[in-house]
Amino acid sequence: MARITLQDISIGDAISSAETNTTLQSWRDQSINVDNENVRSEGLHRRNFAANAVVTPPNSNQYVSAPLGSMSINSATPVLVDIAGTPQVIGPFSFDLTDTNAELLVFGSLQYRNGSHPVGVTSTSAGVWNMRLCYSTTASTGPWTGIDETLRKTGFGFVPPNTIYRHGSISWAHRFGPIATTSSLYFGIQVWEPRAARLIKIEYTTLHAIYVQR
Amino acid sequence: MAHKFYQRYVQEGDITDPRDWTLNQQDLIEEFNGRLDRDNIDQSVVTTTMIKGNAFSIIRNVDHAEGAADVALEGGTIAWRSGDGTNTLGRIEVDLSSAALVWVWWSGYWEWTGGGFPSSISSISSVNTVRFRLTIDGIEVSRIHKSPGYRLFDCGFCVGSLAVDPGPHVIEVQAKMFIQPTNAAVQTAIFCTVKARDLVMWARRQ
Amino acid sequence: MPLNTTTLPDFMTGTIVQASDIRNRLDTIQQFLNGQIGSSELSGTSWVDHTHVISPEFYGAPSRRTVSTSFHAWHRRSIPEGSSTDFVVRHEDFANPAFGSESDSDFSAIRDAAATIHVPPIDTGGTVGMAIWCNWYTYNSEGTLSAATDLESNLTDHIAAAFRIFVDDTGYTESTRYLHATTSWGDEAAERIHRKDMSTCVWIPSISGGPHSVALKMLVFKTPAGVRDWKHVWVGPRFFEVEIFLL
Repeated sequence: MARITLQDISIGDAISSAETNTTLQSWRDQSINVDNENVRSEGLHRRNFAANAVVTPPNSNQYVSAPLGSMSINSATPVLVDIAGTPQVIGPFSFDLTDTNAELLVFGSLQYRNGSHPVGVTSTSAGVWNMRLCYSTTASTGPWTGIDETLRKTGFGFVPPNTIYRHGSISWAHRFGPIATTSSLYFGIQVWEPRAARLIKIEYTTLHAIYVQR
Repeated sequence: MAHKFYQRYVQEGDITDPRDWTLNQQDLIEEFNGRLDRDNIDQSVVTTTMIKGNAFSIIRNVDHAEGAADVALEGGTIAWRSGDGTNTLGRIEVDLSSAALVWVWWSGYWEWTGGGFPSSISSISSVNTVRFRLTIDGIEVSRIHKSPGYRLFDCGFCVGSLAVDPGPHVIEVQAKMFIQPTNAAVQTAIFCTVKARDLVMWARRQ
Repeated sequence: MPLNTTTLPDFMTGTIVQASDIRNRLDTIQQFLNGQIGSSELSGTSWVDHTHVISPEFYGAPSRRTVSTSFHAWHRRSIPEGSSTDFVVRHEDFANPAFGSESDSDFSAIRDAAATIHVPPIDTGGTVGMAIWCNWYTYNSEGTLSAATDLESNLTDHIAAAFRIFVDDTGYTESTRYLHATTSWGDEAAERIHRKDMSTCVWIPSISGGPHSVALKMLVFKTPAGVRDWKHVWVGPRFFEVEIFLL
């Protein structure tokens, strides 16, 4: 609390510098502690705030997209999406563990496409494509840990060959929890097809994260 | 209170009057003691550390990996529902002390099982669908409109927002199924199980 | 501007107080109050709460938006109520061009998935970041693409429509979503298989002050002559959210 105390001087008082100086000293003491009791309700305007005081938007390393190209994935184990030689990876992010109010929101999106079932597959052997967000606390090259809550699957059951295009899109919005490390945090997208190797094309991806401080 | 200017001008030759000092100081002190605003404070000086937590944002989420928290939606129920009686699709309760814009996002994946479904193309007419909606205080703000059962596994994403007053609020994900069974027994044997899912809420207060 | 013994000195005992001595000190305090309370004068501990900031303003239909200190946002949505049919439909009869020959100018905005936004003047750097999220439901109908077609070899031959986010007539290709043609497999009920819930999101790193148009646009591709693999492309429930980050 920073309130100025006025040393009053009334008519009839003996004039002394002590009273005026007391007030001046109060100004000097309290003027360096301006806080909530000095500022009126709805007193602050956007111009009073420093840039990015509330939200730190992603810098050039913290968002990525793939406007061109595609990646054909044919793997039973998770593969990091890399389109036209550009890994769809964002980071590094620094998580300030001393700031309990900080939050990191990760957003991503992609399109998947391929043709139809090959001849001979059944409902139990048909492809099921797995997609998820992943993170690394080491480097942009991994190693990667999948974020299980973001696992998304798509796949047909018994649909005869050459009947229906399998295509679609998926997006994510994920609140990423604080972790032990405070820096070198990266995010990526993984895709794989564990049932049987079956090609899928991944394209038109976007990935970015917003650091919410307040 | 905008800019402040003291009122009593003191000039040479005036008779000394303590009120010239006192009243002027009073004017300025009253400004400082609780009426400062954007005109008094310089620009770009309020930094993150000066701002209290949740002054601008309140973020909540509820997410689940596939497993024990899966929601098994039985085909026999055709009304909107928020869970299976044990687990919920996604629910956040928040009490806001000020008006806010509430952003919500939900994504998840689901799997159809049971009732010998789907077993052959002869049961084409038995295409079943599931839809999801994202609600804030019961008001639908977004939806995943229809996902058919022939997509044995499917996933979706939806985003919405709503301006809300101060007070308690509920964000909830609900699902509804359309089953075209040949008989009731088949209907109740079909399940659409919602597995890994993610509900995020960002209440923007200021 | 700090108030210290240099900028705001005491009156010295024993010296004659001039009128200017009084005025100078009052002037210093006045100057301090009128815009010179700087970062060093503010308490470093967290004291700003939501009561110190202007409350957000919410504007309703027909142009739903939120105006706030740290952000502005625009909201569009179309939700079917009961049996209402607030769908957008585009017809292949009027479509142009064929897949692979398209440009941004071939796309057109989807009603209730578009907004004219205004970005306030930006004091530092001149631009702010913008996030766009949307999801929608779409399908095509009455096409004659045979289910016996070799779909596996023709991934690009049967794309009925494309969707893309645009800002000021510039399409963000990374947000593109394709709708493949329905095939003849199955009956009317089975057509539901071909219908699609789609979603996309994109981060725009810098958008300048002033008016801008932001939209989810679509393009129905032309089919080859004599081939009607798709006829009508529908867009049903759609949800479009835009936010610019000011602080």
